[in-house]
Amino acid sequence: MATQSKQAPLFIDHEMCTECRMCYVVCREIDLNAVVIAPEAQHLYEIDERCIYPGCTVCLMYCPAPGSIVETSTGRSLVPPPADVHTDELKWPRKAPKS
Amino acid sequence: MLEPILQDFLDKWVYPTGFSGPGAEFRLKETERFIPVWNNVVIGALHKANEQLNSENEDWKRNGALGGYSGEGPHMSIKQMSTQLLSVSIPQQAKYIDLQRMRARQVWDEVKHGSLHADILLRGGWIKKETELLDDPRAANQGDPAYFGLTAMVPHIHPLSRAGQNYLEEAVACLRLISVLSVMEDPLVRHENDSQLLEEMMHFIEGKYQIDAYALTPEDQEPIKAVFDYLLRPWGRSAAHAKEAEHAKK
Amino acid sequence: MTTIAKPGAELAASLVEQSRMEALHTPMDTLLDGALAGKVTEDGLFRVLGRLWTLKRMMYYIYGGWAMGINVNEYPATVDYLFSKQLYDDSTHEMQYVDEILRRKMVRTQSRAFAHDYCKFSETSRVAYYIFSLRALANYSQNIRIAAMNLGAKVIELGWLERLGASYPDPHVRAILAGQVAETRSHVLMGKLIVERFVTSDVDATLASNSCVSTRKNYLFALEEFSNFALGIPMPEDSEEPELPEGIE
Repeated sequence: MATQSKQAPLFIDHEMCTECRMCYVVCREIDLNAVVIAPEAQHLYEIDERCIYPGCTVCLMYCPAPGSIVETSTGRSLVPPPADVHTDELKWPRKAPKS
Repeated sequence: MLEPILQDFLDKWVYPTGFSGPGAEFRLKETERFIPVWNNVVIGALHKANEQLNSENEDWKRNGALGGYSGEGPHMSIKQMSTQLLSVSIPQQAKYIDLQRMRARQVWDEVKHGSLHADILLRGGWIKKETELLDDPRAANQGDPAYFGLTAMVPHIHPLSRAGQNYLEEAVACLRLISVLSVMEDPLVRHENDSQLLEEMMHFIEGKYQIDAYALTPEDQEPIKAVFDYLLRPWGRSAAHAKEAEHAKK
Repeated sequence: MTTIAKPGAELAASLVEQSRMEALHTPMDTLLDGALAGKVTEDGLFRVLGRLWTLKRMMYYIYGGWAMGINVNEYPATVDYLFSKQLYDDSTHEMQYVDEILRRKMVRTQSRAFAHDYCKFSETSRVAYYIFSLRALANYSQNIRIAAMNLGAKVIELGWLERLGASYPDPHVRAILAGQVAETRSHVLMGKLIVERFVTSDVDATLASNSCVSTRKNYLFALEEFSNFALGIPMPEDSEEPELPEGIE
């Protein structure tokens, strides 16, 4: 039943990840919901096919554990984020709500 | 001239930003105020670690573990986090449930850190079982009551006040841990510090995220700024940490 | 070899046994029977997932209130360690329920889930009745409220999680519930440890026992609402409170 699949463009390396929830929280905030909790008893965090990387890199900016999130196609670690994944175009714009 | 440890920390963890807009701009502008403080924290922590390395006895290990146990041990942490769990009203839960989810995570982190400090005391032979600490006031002493009170009070001011504390103070914790780890080879001390580092990083990054994502209006930024101002007062927690560098320079 | 005193061992065993009897068949088993008979629609499943999510996310307020009442050196650190883990686990379970709501596209976003009638916290629901009763346990000490929760409601939760986790026809729902079994079992075992070691006086034993009985009843009362709501069965005598054994008010 594990949802993490090599078809998702990113995967979580559980040797490095502390299961801190930050990627889950951030992905939920932008309503992509691509980070999920695996149903197995360990309740590890996983990335599913809803992930749109490289179109979105927001989880990489808020992951505190080096090496935790990996580019599936190359095996390249993306935490801390290399320069090419935190360009201005990739940032999610936030505006002050209209009062 | 920035300490290399701080420069590396800034480049890897402070400057990369997932959101653009007023929250991130506010955070990066405020960060300019913290850089001298954080730099002094690194200088002071390196100096202190080197002093400890040259110490003639190992009392500092025991004292450090007792201080850690009282400061972030189970008793204190459970109080701090519970006030914050309760700071989100039910109508606000749709907006701020992440604060509760991350507090649930942090309370578990912090009590584990208490275990790590207890581990040092056990492995170092200073205690035979953890329950002995119930009879040792040093393991329960609230050495910095205003700071611990702040952690309980800020959520009553605004749900995002806590983000200010996490961002500024947990960065201090990370920088101290990284500094100590850069010079200490003692396996016991490395175990105590290394195993906490990623969780302290997470607490810092949670503050970073909340400011970037939520502190979008002057009304939401003001309470965060107030916490920064408080912590940077001459008698505030961050200023106190930075004083170690002054001591080092003397 | 050191032996650890367990003054509350008899009480703990008795509370677990009483709760196990109540856990043998719960309203969630009625839901399971309905699901196996093909009577739980996708909308019915949304109703129950929504209710479970609402209940679990209210636990932040319960645990926050309880944790506020644990003072420095009142108990050994074990009590804090175990309680913190329970808080974290129930938070994970809360997240899992909303995950599934979103994965099945029952709603598009988490904020819409909060606003949906099936997921809203309503003061006039049995979820609220149960949650309010748990909040009142903050008035007692940690040994008593853990006896009530972990040797009462958690034993019942473990029972239905085990059965639905083994047999619920939808594989995703089944996997989520099965995955919560180990943590819920650890909460029961933690409750046993707390009661065995820290319920030491007659008055605490009586309060623990009474609180456990009422918590069990109130939990089953809430579960009945979940099951009926999912199966589209009108709620019976909604104005009546759950019955309690004689001597407990």
